[in-house]
Amino acid sequence: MNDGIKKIIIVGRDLDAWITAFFLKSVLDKSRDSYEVTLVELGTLLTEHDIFAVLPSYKMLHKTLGANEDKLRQTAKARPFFGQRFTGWNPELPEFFHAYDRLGINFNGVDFFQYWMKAVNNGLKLPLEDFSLGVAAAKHGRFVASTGQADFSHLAYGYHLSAIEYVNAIARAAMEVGVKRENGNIITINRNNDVIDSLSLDDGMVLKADFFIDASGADALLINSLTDNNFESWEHWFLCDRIITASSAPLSPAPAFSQVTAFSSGWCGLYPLNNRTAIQTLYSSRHTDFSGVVAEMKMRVGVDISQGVERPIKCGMLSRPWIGNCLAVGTAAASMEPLDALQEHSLVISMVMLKQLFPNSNEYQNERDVYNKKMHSFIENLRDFQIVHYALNSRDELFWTACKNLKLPHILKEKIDIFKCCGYASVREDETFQEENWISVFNGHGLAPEFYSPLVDNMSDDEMIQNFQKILRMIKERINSSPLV
Amino acid sequence: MQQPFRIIIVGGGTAGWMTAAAISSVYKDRSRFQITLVESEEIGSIGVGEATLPSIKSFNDQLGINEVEMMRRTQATFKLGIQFNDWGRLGASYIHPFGLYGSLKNSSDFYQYWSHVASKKTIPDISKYSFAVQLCERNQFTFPSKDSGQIESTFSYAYHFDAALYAAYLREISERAGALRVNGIVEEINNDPDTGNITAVFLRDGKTLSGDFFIDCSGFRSLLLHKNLQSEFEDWSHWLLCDRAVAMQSEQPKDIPPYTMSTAKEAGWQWRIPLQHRAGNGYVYCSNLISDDQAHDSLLKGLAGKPLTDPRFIKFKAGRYKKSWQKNCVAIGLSSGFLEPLESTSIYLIHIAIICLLRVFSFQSNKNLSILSDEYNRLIDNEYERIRDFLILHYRLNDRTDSELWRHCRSMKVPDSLMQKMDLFKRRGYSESFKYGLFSTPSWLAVFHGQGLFQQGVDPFISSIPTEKIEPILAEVSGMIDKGLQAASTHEHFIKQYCNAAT
Repeated sequence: MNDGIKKIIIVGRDLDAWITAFFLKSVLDKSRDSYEVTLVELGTLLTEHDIFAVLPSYKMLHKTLGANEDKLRQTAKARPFFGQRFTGWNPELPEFFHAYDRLGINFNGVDFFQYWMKAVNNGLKLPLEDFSLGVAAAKHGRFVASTGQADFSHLAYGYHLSAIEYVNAIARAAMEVGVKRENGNIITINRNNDVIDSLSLDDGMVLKADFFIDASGADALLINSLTDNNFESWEHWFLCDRIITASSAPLSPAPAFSQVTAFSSGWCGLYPLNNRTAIQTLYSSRHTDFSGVVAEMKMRVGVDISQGVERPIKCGMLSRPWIGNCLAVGTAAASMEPLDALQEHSLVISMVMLKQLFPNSNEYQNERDVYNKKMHSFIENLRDFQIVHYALNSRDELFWTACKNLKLPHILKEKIDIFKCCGYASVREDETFQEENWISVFNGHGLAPEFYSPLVDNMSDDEMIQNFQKILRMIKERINSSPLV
Repeated sequence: MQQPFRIIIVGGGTAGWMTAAAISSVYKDRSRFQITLVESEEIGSIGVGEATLPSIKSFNDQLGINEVEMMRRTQATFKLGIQFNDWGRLGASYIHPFGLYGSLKNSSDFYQYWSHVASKKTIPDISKYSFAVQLCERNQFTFPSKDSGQIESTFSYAYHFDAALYAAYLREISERAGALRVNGIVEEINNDPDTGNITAVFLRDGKTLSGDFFIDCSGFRSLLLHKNLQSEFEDWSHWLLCDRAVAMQSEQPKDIPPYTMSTAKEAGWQWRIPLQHRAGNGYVYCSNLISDDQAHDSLLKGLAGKPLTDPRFIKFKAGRYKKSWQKNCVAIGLSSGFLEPLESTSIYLIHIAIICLLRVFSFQSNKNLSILSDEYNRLIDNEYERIRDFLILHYRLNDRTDSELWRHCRSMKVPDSLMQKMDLFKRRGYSESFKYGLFSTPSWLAVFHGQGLFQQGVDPFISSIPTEKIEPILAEVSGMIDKGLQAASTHEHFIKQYCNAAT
């Protein structure tokens, strides 16, 4: 049995706090009596407009939690999405999808993308995404079941979730497995160097624990009391500093994808839900203002966001999300913008890593070091994936020109350089997105390699055409035989 | 008509011919890709890397090699792992298998399960729950299965083969695919004065081989990468102290084991690699602890059969060149670095170098070489460093006090990353998994556990599960293994039936 940590206090609110509480109580404490998990709940910051667009990994998280996913979906007015459609980022190019699936079949061990480049060279007019079952499922709104042919497709879908309803459902489930809840304002954090001993609340209560989780969002209330200069700002890469969340009528039929549209000084996401369409609009206040954005949304995207709620956003991450006996999760650890459905994603990575590294005694310096190192590298790679959209835009407004001139992070520059040489996606350790995702997005934004690999010449043009047709046929058959979402 | 892209490979041997075979098999059009390998019959090949890792099978498969034919031609046997004797402590023995512990569906948590139950009561050692280890212990072999419900899905295999015969076999394949072979000794190398790229090699007999891209497979001499392009060597001999080997062939006794044997000795360790017609042996040692003669004597004493050849001495230094690709030249094999063959990584390192080269380079232009080589070097560095740490672990983790080498190693300062790994394993059985590089979690587990670093704390996510719920899982695995062992035949019998070499 664990002779170290017995009592865990989580300070925070909303998704980050409740998922972590639920996770620690249900997964860590299978016998329900060795750990005490208490959530000191801070007031919610969610509004009726808020939305979580979460990647397919949330399905895995629900399973790990032992949550009833059908019930969660129903409560949260959830709609599945197979990918995201990017429109207007490169006005001279067609809009494109980033789906969570393969792109074609890698014949003879050579990336399908290489064959596609050659075919385009020979006059093919079809975009790369036409060879992805995941993209077809997104476009046609079909629930395509697993194909059993992993080399062709392993498609997966994420969810659009109405935020308040989802958090409430998670909170109820967490309470059911024994998470304790305390309300109250924290007056002091009592600590010894970088070890938190207890929290004093305004009602006089003192809460002691062995381990503290900071799920307080961008304030990072607990962990910031332990150290200064722990925040790495990404302001120079992410120029949007305001986010407006709003709602409009449900779309009919509701698409099985998120729509991500660039406009003069930012971008707008439309996320179908069962009872409404959630809208997130990000913009740079140096380039426009609320009323300007509202007007542009009405004209360009056809939605009215004048009743929306505006909040500032400041992207960045903690250098060390785990200090002493305090671990920051979710937004407290990494404040990411919602592009690519990544805003709630660091939370899943934290849970996966905690499952491997949660202390089993009072000594855990190495766990902490490994966690901090891996988390940092995971988040950086996600951040770089988001930066791609900005850096590779080809719009000419001031905002977008500034984005084009971003000084790229070192690893991203290497990735772009090598892709430009030979169409090879250099995926690192600690990456959520894999080769197919990077290729989708690079290609979608028009980043074209200088050469395709001569290895594709080992296949005759006739055979290549037949193989392409076979893939298209397989996709069509699968779509036609699958039910609507 | 466009000029063909000219690839020059300097050096035959395992590295040279593996490279030539791999490139010629995928870059097939000789009017576009000209492949020339220059080797000298006067310069011998090191060829001690006769034990392989499972990735060799995918290398062969990609070349379309028929396994039976290859095994017959190279006197090959199957390999399911490595047996380590006297490592950790005198008298100890364990097997590092090419396989998992438990069955496929529960392998990720199996060691945690086992530790949890073992902390409460006495149960068989973890090695009893590895099908591959159990096959080894009985000198048995069977093919792996793709059916994840079968215990046969928990392992893979490699080969022991005669590396010289393997190189000769690959030479045939390469030449059939249109690679040219030139017999000659490289005397001089010419560089472009502006770019520094290599433009040609001059042979002793006066021939000139001009090329666009050069692959240095010249072995320890590292003729192009080191001698010409002056890539800097990173010395790791403060961690891996052995700097010499003496190799010798001997008769192979009956009942051929499906594993390589590695026995820790006073000043290093001795390998035994069982082939169909003989055994390969060698003593890897530290030359400032024992003399060549002493090493030779010790090797002779450790042979299982009569010696068949004279001893051959090899000098080396552990480490690697910081950039194994510079300018228009990539070094593959010993010319790029050396790590002792304790975990049979020599041929793996050749294979992974070829994979990485083919991944980033398409042999049609020398544009953007620095971008491509940066990527390649990054991938190769990672491979070398991961293997290095794993090798150091074998030395560091020991309780031997019988000789200076072991006393030194058990307290030597090792890379911080390795200390961290040891601590996390000891306290909770954690080991990191990666996308790239060797070795995977079960391998680390095998060595940690086999050399006496036992897990002390259980993963907290497992410790709250009552052990009564876990015991049936262990029992099920034991049952599956017993059934699998009954169905498997002896390794020797299997080879006779499957790929008996002509004598």
